[in-house]
Amino acid sequence: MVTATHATDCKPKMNYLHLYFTVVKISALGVGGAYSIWALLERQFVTACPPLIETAAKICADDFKTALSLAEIIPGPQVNAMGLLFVKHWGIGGFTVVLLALITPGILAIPFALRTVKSFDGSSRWKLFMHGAALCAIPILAFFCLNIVRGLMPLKKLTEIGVPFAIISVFFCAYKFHINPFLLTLSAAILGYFFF
Amino acid sequence: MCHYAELIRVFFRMGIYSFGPSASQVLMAEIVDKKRWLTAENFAGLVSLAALVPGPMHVNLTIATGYRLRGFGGSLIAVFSFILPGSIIALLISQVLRIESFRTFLAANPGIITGLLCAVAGLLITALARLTGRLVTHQLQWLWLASLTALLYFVKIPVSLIIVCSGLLWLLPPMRRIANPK
Repeated sequence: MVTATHATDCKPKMNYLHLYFTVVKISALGVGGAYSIWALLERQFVTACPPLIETAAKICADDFKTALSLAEIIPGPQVNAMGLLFVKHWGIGGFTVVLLALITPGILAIPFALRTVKSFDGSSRWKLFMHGAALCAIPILAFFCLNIVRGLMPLKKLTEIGVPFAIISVFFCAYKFHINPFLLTLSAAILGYFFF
Repeated sequence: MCHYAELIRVFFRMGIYSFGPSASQVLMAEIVDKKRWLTAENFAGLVSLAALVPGPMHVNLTIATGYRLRGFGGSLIAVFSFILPGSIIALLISQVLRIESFRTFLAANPGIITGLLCAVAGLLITALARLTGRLVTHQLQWLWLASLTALLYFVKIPVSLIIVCSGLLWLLPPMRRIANPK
């Protein structure tokens, strides 16, 4: 009989090479900014807590939430917070592998695109194809947003009624007044500590 | 023309100063306004390209800027210098998260993570609103996007398939009429 053992007790099944190519694929599909990549990472790696030994290569949903919530307060691009997801199971090696994997599509595609951008500029078919592909960023982001909101929404305590209010306030401040996301995130954490 | 050493210094500094979506503004202020390495028009072209090419946008923007300034070597130097400060901080945070007392503190105060996630959800909706404003130009596109969201939410359909199918769909003659790529 197989007994359930937590993932922290065992090594991940996915090796560095497998991890690299899995993340390269995710990065290559991540159109529309960093949040699309977060959504794809969640889809590929995240599992319920605590993960069992059979799914040791998976990342616990709580760890995912922590890394995601830190993404706006770590300086530089969000790839660093994405790398943070993999430190627990794969160590610093995994962190480095994930960072390299996330930048690989850009390093390969951008020099090529910059050289050939003039020929693409004239092609209406190319523009239409890219328009259709870029539109996919919207459902990917919407799906990811729904997942986060669904996780926040079971309002168990009276104080958590403030959750939708906080989300709307952050949206309003960021969209209308262009307030720095770092300041908004930090303020939300402080307010969350006192009120939620 | 800038030297590699200067490229490292500038991008490393920007890696410390930039947070989230502000990275493109920080890059523009430094590269266009302060250093005058690129014109605003050139930089805007690179921003569009970075958004179009798959991968994290600000990483792509750094690669594109580095490539324009010093070729392939420049793109590598720019991206690694830009990522390095945040990587060091992320690794430090990963060590802090291992400390038992800190984990106990976080577990005892779930409001901190809830607050942070509220901010993330709000920023996501902001990104969604801006992207929709830029890309959606016809009412029928809303229908298409709602169907795709439903497919993603209820059916475990591969994202790669959705992206390729969506791209190909817009090549069809009836769809060309309602598409107006900006």
